Amino acid sequence: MEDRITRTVGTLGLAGESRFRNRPDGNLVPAHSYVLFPLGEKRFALRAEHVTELARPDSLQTFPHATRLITGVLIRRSSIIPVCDIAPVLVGDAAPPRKYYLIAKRRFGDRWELTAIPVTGDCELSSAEMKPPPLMCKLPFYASGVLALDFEIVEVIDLDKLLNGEEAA
Amino acid sequence: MSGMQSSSMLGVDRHTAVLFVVGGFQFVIEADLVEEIRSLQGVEPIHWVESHPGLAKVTHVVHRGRRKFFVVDSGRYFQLPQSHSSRVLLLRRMDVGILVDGVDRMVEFGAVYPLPEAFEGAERSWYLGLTLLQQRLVPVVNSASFVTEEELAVLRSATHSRQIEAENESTKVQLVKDWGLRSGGHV
Repeated sequence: MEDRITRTVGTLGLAGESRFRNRPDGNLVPAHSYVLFPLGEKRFALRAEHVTELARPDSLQTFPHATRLITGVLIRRSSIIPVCDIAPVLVGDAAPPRKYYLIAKRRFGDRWELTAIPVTGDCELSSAEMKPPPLMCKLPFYASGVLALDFEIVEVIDLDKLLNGEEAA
Repeated sequence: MSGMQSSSMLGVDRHTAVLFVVGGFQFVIEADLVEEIRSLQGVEPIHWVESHPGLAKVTHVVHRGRRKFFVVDSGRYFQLPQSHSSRVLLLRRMDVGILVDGVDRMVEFGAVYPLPEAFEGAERSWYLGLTLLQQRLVPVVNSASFVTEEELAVLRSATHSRQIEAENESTKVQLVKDWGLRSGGHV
């Protein structure tokens, strides 16, 4: 049987939740939830609606392929889930061993597919509002914005851009 | 969502396959597609192919009767430099062989599951999909992609040209010899 971490995003009932917030200018804008995940000492965020669960490591199965960042596949609930290790892009080779898999959705044409992202520790839900980068700061090609938390600025990752290697021009 | 519904490519019938190993990885190929499994005896290296773009994977030839098989080094093909070939699988109806590290055994497999869309590299042509053998996912190789029809045509044409060149060269040498004999040894 597959072990599941009890504190999954799905069981918290927040995945995909979208609320509306009052902005100072009086306009209503959608506010999204984000899943914050650690890679070593840094944390990054994914939109919660794209995350389905946080899972303990299953046995990684590997076979030869030529796709960057994919390290193998998992079998979970009768599905074959590719594992994409994004740590080398986000924090370089220095990331400590990955402890969990964040299972996220990726869009391929009109289909969605699950992808397992290895992360190095516990994840957290946040409903902070995504902001554009501070002036004079250029975001990496894979970041769609930042979350300004109390003591931390967290990049929100656009998984498709990151995995497709869409470098900013 | 990509569930493990069987691919329509091979259906859910049971298929007999050859389980072979390259660079420490297992692969299966449908047994019907394999004409012969043989040792490396009689496998001749060829080097002229290396100059043809995309054909460096073809490293040997095997003559079998009047047929000539172009042999692909599976280690190069699957980008597994740590492979050590010890067998060649000659494919049926294709004039293509593949060098493999070893042949494990005959196996039966059922459903073939499509590769997840996240796989975007050459593996999409290498494999028909994945199958489960004792809880392990093993790629089912696409025999048609080792050497495509177009590549085979290039190889045959290049072989033919080389044969003609070799024959012409041999004729030239013979003419020079004959001339030398007729002119009293002064060439």
